Amino acid sequence: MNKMHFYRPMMTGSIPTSTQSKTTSIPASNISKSQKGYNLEIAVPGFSKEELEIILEEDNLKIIGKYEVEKETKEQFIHKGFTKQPFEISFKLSDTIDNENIDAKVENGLLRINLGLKTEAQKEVKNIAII
Amino acid sequence: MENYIKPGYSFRPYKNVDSFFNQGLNNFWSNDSIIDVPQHNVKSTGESYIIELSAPGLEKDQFDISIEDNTLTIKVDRKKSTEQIDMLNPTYLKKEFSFEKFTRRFQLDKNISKDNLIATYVNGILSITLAKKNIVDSRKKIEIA
Repeated sequence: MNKMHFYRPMMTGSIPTSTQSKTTSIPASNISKSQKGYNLEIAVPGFSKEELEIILEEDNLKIIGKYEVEKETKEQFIHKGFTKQPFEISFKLSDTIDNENIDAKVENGLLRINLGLKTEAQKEVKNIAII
Repeated sequence: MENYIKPGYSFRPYKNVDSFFNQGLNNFWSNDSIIDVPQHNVKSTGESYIIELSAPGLEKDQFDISIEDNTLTIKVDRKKSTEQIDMLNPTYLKKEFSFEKFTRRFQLDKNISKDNLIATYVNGILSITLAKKNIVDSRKKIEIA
């Protein structure tokens, strides 16, 4: 059986956090931070570019892996350590991320999403009056 | 003759030599561990066995695949230069997988041809096809006198 990866929500509000996943298959992910922004890596072995969909709706980044599980196959499994399954995983983006500055690339079963940070000018400044 | 063999039960075309050392303790604390050893499938078709390794994010030439005696070894040791490390230098906030360095070994059965090995790396899955040898029927019928 495939090893399950239960996501543990991150406690810090300033980083992308996974909020939901509808299917039983949750791909493993890495999140790293550099000076330019956040880098999200999602392991999607077996998935081609055409089978992946990324939707950004407000601060919700959703990644969908589309795949119809083959019911009949001529091959016989002697050992099954992993299986390709459709998935859906969402990340809630923090307000420090510039939604216009997100790019994605899939290469050799690894989906890389770069999330750029807002510049100082883009940040909304709220002054709170002291009564 | 193969019809008399139950795959994975009375007959094993391979033996996963290092699975315990690589995975045994990691699985114990599954929620806290990084997946650093790829999972595998072994499939049987009429003419061949297929070993699949789920190892996303690598390049084809980073795999070192060899057969010595009856052991198939798949090795990856992705060394980064100091310059690369300094340049990238990311701080990981969450790390669930890393396939930069691992070794998987499979002990092959006698009926596997070591000359006909085909390896492909597509969408992060390494597939190694091992041809089955033509098995000569070794049964000998003994007449009752």
